[in-house]
Parts: sequence; structure tokens; C-alpha cells
Amino acid sequence: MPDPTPPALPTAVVDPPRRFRIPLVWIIPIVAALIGLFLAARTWYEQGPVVTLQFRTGAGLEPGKTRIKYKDVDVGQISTVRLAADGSHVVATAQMAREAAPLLAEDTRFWVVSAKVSGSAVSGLDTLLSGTYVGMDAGKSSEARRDFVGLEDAPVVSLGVPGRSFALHADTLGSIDVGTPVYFRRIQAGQVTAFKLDDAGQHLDIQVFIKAPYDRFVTIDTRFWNASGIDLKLGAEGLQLNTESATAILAGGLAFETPPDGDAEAAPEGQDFRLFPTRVEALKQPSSNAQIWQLRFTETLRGLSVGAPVDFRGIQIGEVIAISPDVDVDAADVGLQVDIAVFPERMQSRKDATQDMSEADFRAFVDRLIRRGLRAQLRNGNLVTGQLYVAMDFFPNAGTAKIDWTGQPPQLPTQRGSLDELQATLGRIAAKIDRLPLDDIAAETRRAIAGLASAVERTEALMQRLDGLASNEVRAAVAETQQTMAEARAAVADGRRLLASDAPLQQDLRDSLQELSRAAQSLRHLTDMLERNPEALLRGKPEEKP
Amino acid sequence: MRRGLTAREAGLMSCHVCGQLAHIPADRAALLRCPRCRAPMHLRKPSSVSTTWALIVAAAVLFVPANLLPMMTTSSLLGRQQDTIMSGVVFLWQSGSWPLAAVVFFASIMVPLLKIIALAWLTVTVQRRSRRNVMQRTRLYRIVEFVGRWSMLDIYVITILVALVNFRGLATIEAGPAAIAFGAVVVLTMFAAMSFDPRLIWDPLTEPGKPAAHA
Repeated sequence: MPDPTPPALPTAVVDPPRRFRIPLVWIIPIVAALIGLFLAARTWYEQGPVVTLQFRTGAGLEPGKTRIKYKDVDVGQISTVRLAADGSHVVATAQMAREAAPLLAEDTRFWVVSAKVSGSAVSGLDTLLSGTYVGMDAGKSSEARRDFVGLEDAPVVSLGVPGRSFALHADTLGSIDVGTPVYFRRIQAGQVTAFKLDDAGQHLDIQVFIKAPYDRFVTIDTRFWNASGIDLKLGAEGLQLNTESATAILAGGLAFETPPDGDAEAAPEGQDFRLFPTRVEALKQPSSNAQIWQLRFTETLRGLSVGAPVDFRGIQIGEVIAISPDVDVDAADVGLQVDIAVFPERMQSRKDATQDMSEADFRAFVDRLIRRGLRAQLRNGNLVTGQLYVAMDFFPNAGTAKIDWTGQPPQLPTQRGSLDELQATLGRIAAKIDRLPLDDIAAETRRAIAGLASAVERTEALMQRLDGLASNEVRAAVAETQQTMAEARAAVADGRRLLASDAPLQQDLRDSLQELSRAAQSLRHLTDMLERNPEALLRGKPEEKP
Repeated sequence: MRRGLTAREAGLMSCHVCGQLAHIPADRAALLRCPRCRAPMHLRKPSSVSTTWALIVAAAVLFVPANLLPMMTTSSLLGRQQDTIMSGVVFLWQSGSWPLAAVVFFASIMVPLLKIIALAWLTVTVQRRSRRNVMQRTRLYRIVEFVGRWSMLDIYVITILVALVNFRGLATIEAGPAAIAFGAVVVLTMFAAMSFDPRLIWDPLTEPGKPAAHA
């Protein structure tokens, strides 16, 4: 091999060799591996349990996108959505976060949250933008569970909220729905959580949940009623409008209240209550103390219905509970039997005198009342609709009656209805009028009128005779009077002539008076002159000086 | 191909820094320095194979989280979405952008993977002192070195998006942990390609005692 290297080339400098060279480059894969391991470990650590959820439909469920939220925090994600083997429902598997594992208990609930607008609430509007998600409500059970059946609707009350739920029984649902508020003194104290028809289809079982501070006001004696709509009352105090709240007017609502003298013991969880249609009905005295009486009417009961009030001078003391025909075959008498329930508490006086009354005393008391004339009577409550009610009142003029205490229930004596009685009285008057001898009366009257006419004629003749008798004497008297009057007039004319201005007497008198006046003037001249010249009396009239 | 004389055979070596040509001293184990600029001198890249191996292993390890972890987190009013590289490709494919899906798939998944495999193959054949396909392996090495810088496509896209889409409350895009892993994979494979000494591919041909094979 030729050596083309010029000898002038330097040789590389030799340094002493290093002791040991750590292959530093291997740190890089070690660090990478550590990072990889760390990531893997973290992923594995964060990986929570996988749960399966059954839903009726897969609406809104997107694998890898739909999240599961508990208290609005992501706790998982739907990973797959597939049909069940028989195609009846949808099975979704979800990867839960590790911290959600203890929340997956036996009674944990899942539901699909989507936008919902109802009369009383708008919810889930955020899902319009972000898409639906699956809501979760953590259960309290200690037993873990991994497969769940999703709810159709979001539960109204989550499990963590303290409070108690009760069952209400109603005949109809009215405007109640899941989520309908329950008010206590107009505070929203709870909600309707569920309702279902009972097995017989006769009643509705409504579940309500009352939140914590208010649930202790629900006692065994508490009354629930339907507070939907408006209660408009025109009373002596004016127009009264009673509502629970604007929401209750629109969307319905329930309310409850405990009578003031009610049992203070709080009702246990799940206690059954009756749901009354109105507040007035709910707060009536309990019917357990009601006394059942029977009334027998022979008049029509059209307009009387079960539930019609029994009234004592304006106070409602009971209600009609049954109406049935009562046929007495022996007497061939068909009457109508009305059962009423009377609540004696409402008739209690303030002194509570009737409270501790024995059975015998009570019967004697009622007997005395009956003797004083206490009767039941049908009265017209409303002239337009013809509604009847049963009135208890005293009729002092009523005939004697007695209570049949042996009857079950005892029968109270009745009085015919006021309208009915009016009809009967009118009938009696008509019959009497009918019996009057009207024809005879007419003949008599005619005869009497004829007699009266002849009497009038006779009176006229008498008057004429009287007229003739009086006229002659009167005429003579009048002539004489006229003569006297003429004489009197002549005398007056003489007098007037005597006094006229051209009468001679008057002329003479005037002349005399003029003379007298002249004489008086002369006398005055004399006295004047004498005053100026008193000496004239002695010396005579002085000469006029030139 | 006509085989020429190599520097090693001529007993010469050159400085990588200043290019000074120098004689190889007799003491091979010693640390050599350039007589002109004092930079360390060596005939071949020192411990090239083991360095390459280390970097390839690191890249291979990081390739796993780069593909499994979310690459990009998109938060907007409509919710939060995390995308891995593969989910992005699937999304593009399903939305009909097949060419774009293919580009992303090749640039982000196939290229790093093929680079790791190619480098591993090159290192293995060098270690086994294989004399076959020498020309092809050299060409492969050139391709690997050239392609390396282009597989940062994903990282570029994410950095641009993170900077552009940042409307607080309305929409923000954040890089996920996979972005770091992916960037590390790309950088590590580039370093691996750099640390690999292509002269090692040719060295077995000059070794004594073995017949010279023509590629």
C-alpha cells in the first residue's frame, strides 16, 4: 500500500486517558423510561372502575364524549353505547374516575340530563350548548355496585339533601306533577317526588319530600291540601283572594299546615296522609269525632248532594255523608234517608261545658233540645243553582217529636223545608179561597147596589123640595135689604154735598178765617210799633220825621 | 464499485473542528487532541452505536405516551375536548378530509415510527458487521437524516393554534402532555441519526480476513 502522507503532517497530541467514562447517553433512555413508567402508573392509578348503565334510549349518549357529572364535576365518561342483546334497551359502559369509585353504591342513580322546560322550571339549558351529559347522584349504601339502570327523569331531590318523604293519598292528580312545590306558610318546603296509581286504580299515591328545617313541622296531625289556583272569596270583609304563590297559580302546588292544637309529635318517615282538595276542607275537624245522625225526608232531595253542609244558624257543624231511599213496605211509604255527620267540637262553647258529658247525659240533653223544637230542615242555599243544605234550627211551633235512640244511627226529627212549607201554606190559602161563596156574594152586592141607587134618588127629591121652600122668604129679605141700601146711599150723598168745596158753609167759613187773619196782622203791627215806641201809649203816635 | 483508500488505512485522522489532518499515534486507547486547535480527535464518532441505541430506545419509549396521551385540549363554550394524534386523524378521516388525514397520519405517526425502525435496523446491521445492502443502507440513512426535521409538523400546528386561539372564556387551545413526548421523540430520533456514524456501515468492507463484498 503506498504511503501518500507527507511527512510534514503533525501527529495528534496524546492526552492521558480518562479513568472511566460513564456512558452519559444512557441516561436519556432511562429518563424516558422513567417518564413513560410514571405516565403509565399515573394513568393506571387514575383509572377508576368501569360501570354499565342501562337506558331506555341512547338519545344524547356519545361514546367518548358524553360525560358523567356528580355535583357538576366530571366523574367519568361514556366509553361505549350499544344495544342490549334483546334490543329492548341501550347499555352504555362508562369509565369512571378513581375518586368516583366510593360513590358507586347500591342506590346510586344515573339519568340523562338534557334541556327541559316545564311550567315551573327550566333546567339543563347548558346542555343545549355542551350536549347532554349523564347526571349521577351518589348513593349512601355501603354496598358497592357496578351495573345500574338509568332513570327516565332527573330525581327531584338528591339523596344528600336532609329531610323526610311522606305519602299522600288523593282521588285525582289535579295539576300536580313531579317537581310540584309543597308550601308551608307560603315557603317552599318541599317537592313532589313521584306519583303512581294504586293497584286498584282508585287512588293516587303521591310521594312528597319535605326539606330539613321544615320536615319537623309535619306531625301526625298535619293536613295537606291542593293549593293550586286562586281562591276568590266575597265575604262580609270584602273581596278576599287567597293564593300560595304565582308559581302555584300557574303550575300547581301543595301546601300543608298543622292545626294549632295538633299533636306535636313529628310524623315518621313515609307516614301516610290524605290530600284534601281545599284548605278549608283540610282544616276541618277530624271526622273521627263525628256523630252520625239519620234524617228522613219526604220531600224532594233534588239539589242535595253528599258533602252538602249541615248548618246551625250559619255555622257549619257537619256534612251530608250519604243519601239513600227508605222504603217502608208496611206503611207503603217511600221516604229519603239522609245520613249526616255532625262534629260536636264545632258546637262547643268557650266554657267547654259539654266536654265531659256521659252518654246518658248527652241523650237527655239532645232530648231536651228536641223538646224545645230542634229540627232538621232542607233549605235552599242558592236560588240560582237550587243547591240544598241541611239546616238545624229551633221550631217552637213544631209538633212533638222524639229521637229513636235504638236506631243505628239515631234518627233526628225533621221539619218540612221552608220553601216547601211556603208552598203548603199557599195551597191551604188557595183551598180556603176556593171554598168562599163568591156567587152569593156577587148577588148580594148587586142587590145592595140597587138599594143604594134608589136611596140616592130619594135624597135628590128631598133636596129639590127644600130648595123651593126656602126661596120666597129669601127674596123678600133681599128686596128689603136693597131698599135700606138705597137710603144709606142717599145719606152718604147728602153728607158729601155738605162737605164739598163749593158748599156755602165752607165759603163762609173761609171768609171768616181771612178776616181773622187780617185782624191778627193788625194786632202784630200794633205790638211792633208799641215795642219800638212804648211812649206812644201816652204821647200818641209820633210824627214821621222827615 | 471501486474501493478507495480510507483515512484509517492510511494512518491518518482529521479534526472535526478545524479540519487539521494528523497522523494517528500508536497509543490507540489514549484521548487524542488536535495538534492545532486542541479539540478532541477520533477516527470514528466515539461510542456511536451505544449512543444511537440509547437515543432510539428513549424515542421508542416516549413514542407510546406521545400517541396515547392527549395532544391538544380544546376548551370552548361547547365544552372541553381532548384529542390524541390518532383521534385527530380519525376525525379528519370521518369528516371527509382524507388527504389531510393521510398527511397527518404519515407525518405524525408513520414517519417517527419508521425512523425509529430504520435507525434500529442500521445500528443492528452495523453491530453485526453486515456487508450486505451497504449502498441501500447509506441511502436510507440519508433519507432518515433529511426527513427528521419535517416530522415536527404536529408541534408546529399546535404551537400556532395555541398562540392564535386564546379567547378567554370563549375558546382556548392548550398543548397536552403528548405534545412534549412527541417533540421529544422527534428530537431524540434526530439526535440518534446524528450520533450514528455512517462510516461504520462501510467499515466491515475494509476489515481484513473477510472478502470484500461489492454492494
